[in-house]
Amino acid sequence: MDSRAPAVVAVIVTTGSGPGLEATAASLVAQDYEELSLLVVANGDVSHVPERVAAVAPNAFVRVLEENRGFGAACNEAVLMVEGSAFFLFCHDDVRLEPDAVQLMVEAAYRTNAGIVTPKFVAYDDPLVLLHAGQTSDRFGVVRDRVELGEIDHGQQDLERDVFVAPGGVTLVRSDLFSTLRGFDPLITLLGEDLDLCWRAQVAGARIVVTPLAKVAHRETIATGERPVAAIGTRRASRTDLRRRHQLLVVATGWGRRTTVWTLMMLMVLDVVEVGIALAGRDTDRAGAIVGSWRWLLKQRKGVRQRRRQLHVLRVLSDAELRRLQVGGASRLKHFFVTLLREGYDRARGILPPEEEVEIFDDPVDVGVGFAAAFSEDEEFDEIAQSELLELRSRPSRFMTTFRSQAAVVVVVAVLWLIGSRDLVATHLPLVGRLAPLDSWWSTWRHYFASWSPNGVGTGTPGMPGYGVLAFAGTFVFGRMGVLPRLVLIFAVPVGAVGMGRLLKDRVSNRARIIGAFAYAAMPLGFNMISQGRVDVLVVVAGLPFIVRRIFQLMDVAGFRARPFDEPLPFGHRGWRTTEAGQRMVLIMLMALVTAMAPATLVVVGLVVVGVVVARYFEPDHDNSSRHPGRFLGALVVNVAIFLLPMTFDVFVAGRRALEVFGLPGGPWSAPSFMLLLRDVDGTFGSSWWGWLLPVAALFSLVLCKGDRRRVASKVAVIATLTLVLGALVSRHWLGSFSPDLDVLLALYAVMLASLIGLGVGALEHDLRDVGFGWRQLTAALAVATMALASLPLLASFGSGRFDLPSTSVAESLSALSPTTAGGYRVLWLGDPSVLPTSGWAVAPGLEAATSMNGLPGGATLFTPPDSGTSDVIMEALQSAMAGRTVRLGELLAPAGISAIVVMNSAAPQLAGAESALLHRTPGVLTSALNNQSDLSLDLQTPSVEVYSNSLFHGIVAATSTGSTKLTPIFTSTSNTGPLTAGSTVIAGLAPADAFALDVNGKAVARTNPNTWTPIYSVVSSTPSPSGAISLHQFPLNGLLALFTLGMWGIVWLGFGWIHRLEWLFTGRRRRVSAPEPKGENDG
Amino acid sequence: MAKHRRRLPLVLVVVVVLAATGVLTSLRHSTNPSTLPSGLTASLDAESTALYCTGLASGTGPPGRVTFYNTSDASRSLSLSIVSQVGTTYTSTIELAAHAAQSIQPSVLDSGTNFGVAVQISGGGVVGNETAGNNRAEVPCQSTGVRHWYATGFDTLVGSSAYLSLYNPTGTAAVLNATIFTGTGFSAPQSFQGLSIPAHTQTQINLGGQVVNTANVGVGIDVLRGSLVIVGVQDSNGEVSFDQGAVSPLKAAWFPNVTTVNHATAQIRVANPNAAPAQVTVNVTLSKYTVAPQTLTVSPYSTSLVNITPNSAIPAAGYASLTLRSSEPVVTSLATGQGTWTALSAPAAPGKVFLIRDFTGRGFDAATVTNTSSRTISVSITTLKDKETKSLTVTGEKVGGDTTESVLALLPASATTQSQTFIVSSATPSLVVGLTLPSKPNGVLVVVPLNGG
Repeated sequence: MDSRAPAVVAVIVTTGSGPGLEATAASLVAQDYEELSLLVVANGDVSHVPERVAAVAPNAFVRVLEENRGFGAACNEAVLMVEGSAFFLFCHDDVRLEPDAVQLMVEAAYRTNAGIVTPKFVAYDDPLVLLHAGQTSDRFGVVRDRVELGEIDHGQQDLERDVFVAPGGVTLVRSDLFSTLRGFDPLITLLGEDLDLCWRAQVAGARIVVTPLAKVAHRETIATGERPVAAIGTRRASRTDLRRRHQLLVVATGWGRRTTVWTLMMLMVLDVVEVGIALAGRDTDRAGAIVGSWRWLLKQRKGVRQRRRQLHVLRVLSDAELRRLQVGGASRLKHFFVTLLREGYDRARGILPPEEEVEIFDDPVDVGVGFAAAFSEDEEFDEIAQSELLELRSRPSRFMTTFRSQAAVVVVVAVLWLIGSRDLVATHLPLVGRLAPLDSWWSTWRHYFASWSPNGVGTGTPGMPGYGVLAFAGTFVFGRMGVLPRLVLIFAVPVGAVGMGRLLKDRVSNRARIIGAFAYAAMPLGFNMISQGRVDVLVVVAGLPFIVRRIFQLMDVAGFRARPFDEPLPFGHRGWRTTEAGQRMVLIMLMALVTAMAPATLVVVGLVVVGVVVARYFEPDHDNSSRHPGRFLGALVVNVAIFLLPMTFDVFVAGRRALEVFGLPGGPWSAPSFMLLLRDVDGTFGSSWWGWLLPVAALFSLVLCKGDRRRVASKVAVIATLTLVLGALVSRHWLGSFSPDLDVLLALYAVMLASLIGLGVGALEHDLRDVGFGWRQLTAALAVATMALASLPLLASFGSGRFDLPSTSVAESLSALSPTTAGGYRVLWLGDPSVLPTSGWAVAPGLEAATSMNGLPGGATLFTPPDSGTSDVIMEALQSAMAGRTVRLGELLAPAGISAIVVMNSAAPQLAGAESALLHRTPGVLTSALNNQSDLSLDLQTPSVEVYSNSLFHGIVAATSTGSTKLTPIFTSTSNTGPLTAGSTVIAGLAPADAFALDVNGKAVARTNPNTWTPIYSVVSSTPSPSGAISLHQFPLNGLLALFTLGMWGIVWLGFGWIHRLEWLFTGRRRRVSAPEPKGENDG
Repeated sequence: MAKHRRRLPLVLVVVVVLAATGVLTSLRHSTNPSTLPSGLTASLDAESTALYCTGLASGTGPPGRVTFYNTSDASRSLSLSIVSQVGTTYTSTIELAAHAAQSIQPSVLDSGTNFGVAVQISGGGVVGNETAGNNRAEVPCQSTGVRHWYATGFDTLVGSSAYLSLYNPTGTAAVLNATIFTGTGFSAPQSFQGLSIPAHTQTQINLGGQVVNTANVGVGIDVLRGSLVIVGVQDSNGEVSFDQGAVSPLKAAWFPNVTTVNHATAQIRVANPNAAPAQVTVNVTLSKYTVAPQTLTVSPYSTSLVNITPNSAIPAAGYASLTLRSSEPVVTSLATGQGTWTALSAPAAPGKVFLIRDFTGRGFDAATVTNTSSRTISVSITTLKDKETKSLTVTGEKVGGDTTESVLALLPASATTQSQTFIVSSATPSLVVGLTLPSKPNGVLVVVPLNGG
């Protein structure tokens, strides 16, 4: 019995000039498959076809159709002419088959029981370049190729496998399947027949297989625009129109009822977005194609219903099973955003042509080879380029991916920043926030070592370390202390942005780092702190990213420790800095420097450590060596406390006020709302709708991140959440006296938001590629949009030239502070901690009390120790007044030499149309209380400030005259020396009382009443022409403590290798030539 | 494997925590505390307190006087300062023993026709009360000035005069604007705008000088700078009465003892300082009778009144307890009288502590406590006798919600209110004390109790 191969009928559809017809026919004739018949269908006016076919394939049948009905219809017509064949091989007229192609495809069909078999397609002119190895599709009918553009065929695709779409060109279809499917759909005249046929075949349960060993060269004349043709029924429809409408038809009929509804709804949303983008770019063709496709679908509703009925009869696979055969997501949308991110908006929406591709949009329709014009061939329009890696390699990305572009952007932003801060360079700085004029370099050092400071009624506690930091910094500006606040105002935010870039280093790309850094610079907090003159918070803004990075590094947060720390080395040895101990010491010193200016830094460090620990519960790191975070945090705090020994001493003696070192409670009624906190806003900048952009972008980023990025993002998110929660509780004064500076907390929140944004950009670059369409893509779209929008307000903020820092202040506008009588005096400043131009102590939530001597606050009261000590007399008097327990506040304050009480509701005056300032009202009960006092008179009342004068003021140093108890001021505001009256009593409002002495004519006078806080002295009546001087007599313990602390800083600094380097100084030996200093990733 | 380990959805946790924090912090709004604590108990441990009295005159009839009473158990030193409208001053010091009282008559100590009195006390617990008009009018001295003041019900009809007595207790010159409301609308007389009252001075504003021959005149004072002590003085055909006024219009007011007897008149006078009409409802509780609520619509910026006595819908059956509710904050007063005269009294403001003392020596025709809340409260009554310490404390007497009880009913059977001093207190600030002096017909002389200033 003869064994015969199954009959295969090859159908070549040719149209127009058919430039490759002979080659196609010849390659089929040359097939080694013996049961192959050839049928050529000449589509339309092609009288030359029989002759040309006869020349190369004399046995071929030629069927001439009078009109061009399209590829599918031609094939259907050909099939009617054939009986008894097992397979049909539908061919374009521009292909060239390898001699064994048909044989291999038939074998594969039998071996795999496939209904449709497709070969591997290679370029016609260069068979080494792959075109297709089967295709797939998403649920919206968008076809994706399995090979990269221009991919070289190394046999890497030579694996027989199931595919969803058999691309047109050469397709082997089992004849019974073709009959069951009723051939190609007559509604689809051209473009999309392959997708439609394959979709229906799979719904009917047939397999589609690619057999890569069967190789076909495809000229793709449709793709190259080589053959402009037209078909019946297409009218003036462009290829784009046809592709969109047929794609919609397939989706509308290919799914079950419910899936169809849902899919069409999603597709409609996507199409609306795409139409919007197209119209924005004046791409009316695209918009018309999309709208036209829906219109065409409505017109074809009868045919659609019929198709659905037919397919329902055939349906074997459920929708869920069919979905599993497809790729996830929306390929077109994904492609849009990948292109947008990489190459910009114009390129993404298809205005600019790809550099290495031929523009193939809207070419005239090639009727004859419609099957070849599958959706997949117009990738720029319809598909995601699957060749990101190839594109990155072959097509340089245009959006901030090159060093030059990144540098250009950085330079532009830096220049804009300098332009925006132009008025901060030389113009007057108002007395707001912490912009009190600094004393001279030498005086600032003296404040650090001082045994007495004038805060309140005077205190003998050690000088705050902030003075040391300022004095040290003043050294680098050659003692021009006035330059320091300007430097901070101008450069704190940029330095912080640099720190943010460092924080993100090695976690994300340079582009993401730059975006993260810009996001940090664009956070409202920095601008608001500049406008409020909060130099202390700005120092935190500058330093916190560096601190966070080192904490992450030491806690071994995923990816932050690029390599293990160097082997332990002895302290002082070169390279010690790169060891873990050295790195920890760098962190401690950095923390100490920032904490000296803003002690709440310690709280935010605690938040970071706790946040990392909590986040590890949700997203454990692969391997974290930091197993004792509590010990780690404790070590940091203790060491910082040692580096700031004077302040630590102050805290320990402060008692119930110890926690006030971190900040004073603001008025809950004027605190920013939670919604503002979410936007990182404590001020006017960022309080409008656009303030939401960056937090929203950060939230999007959180959900986009995957892998290691997600581990970092989870920690960042937890820290941000903890910070917000703490900030909300603090702002409502729900934590009692523990009220860390809200703005310092917001600085940490800003770091976390910017980090998330940087990580989010990294996720867009990498993580988004690997997932299908879904919420991530939508999130990515929103994230990109918000990031872009968020940069706009930044530009607007550059307009004022000083970031809305007021040009005048309320304090400076007060001219009535100086009493008419002679002698030194104090001014009592009352107001919300965020408003007062100096630091003090809390009287009640929203009410801070501070004093200044002889006028406005200055550099001597820039920092206030938490220990109020004797100054409690002021706070207690105020509390009595506010509780309605006294009407003689002036009398109670007179011993302190307080001549005026300034109640501030805002730092700067409200000047309509010129200047606005936030109102942080003092407790209303304070105003009521002050108005009730019988010895105070209201001298000035504006919305910003109220000034009360004390009618019982008698100077800081006062004396009674003989025979009278009335006190009158003595001495002057600049000197505690002057003539006295014999027999008088001298009272000095200076604390601590035992630290001061009165010398009369050079001889010390004993205090008469040691039980009062004010030193009281009696001048002997027999003293002739007495002249007195009040002086401080105290052992300089504070100075020694400050010196010890300073020495410790010096020793630790020497430990960073300088002891080793300077060894020869102590031993007399020449320094050994040592190996190069290790320099690692952890080097700070 | 770690990646298959089920983890808590971090994003969800973050969102939930933030949302919870946001909701939590938004639910409880922080308000800026603006009122000083007041009350007798609060002032006992004070370092220093002050009392300010104004409205005292030396005109027709017996001149006004001020009585100071020390409720504390220790003596107090009072620095007295009297200033007349012409600027003359008198200063003195008074030592007031524990539970002792002392009266002064400014017209004797200083020259002038009307006076302001300021007393500064070392410590707290001293109260002051003004009496005038042959001991038929009383008003408590104040411990603080006010920045807003409202009163209504003044008459400037022929035979009547009404004026505001103002004293500036502070060292700051006060500046005020005054607005006058009548039944036909409101006016802001130019001479009452930007009016400056120098520090520690006394002055008067004659309402009749701006609103001639008008009944039921309302006044609103807005102190732009500083603070003032203000009392409204009504002279109705020779009958002097004081109106303590209120610091703000209110939507509710209580009048515990309103007479309904024959031959008496009683009116609730209302001023509406708002731009919207006020719908006022007066609920009348009268022994065993059920009385329909009396309603009234008060046009914007105008005054109106409700007649309680005589009123055909309200039987003449002794004292009625009135509760006024309004759709808009309004200013109210009670005008009582007989035939040709009326006397004004301000509504009692709910509080925690009241002092009931018979400053006139005439005793009380009625002394009641009213619970303005809907819940039963516990009331404590302490009896203080001059030159002695506390002699009687009655605690835990229950007063039902929205009910009025006689003070005597809460005391032992033998107790009287004549020449006695009581401190009535409750844990919640929902107590109102009503006092009327003996009169014929009954209940036409209503006085305001001391609430500690």
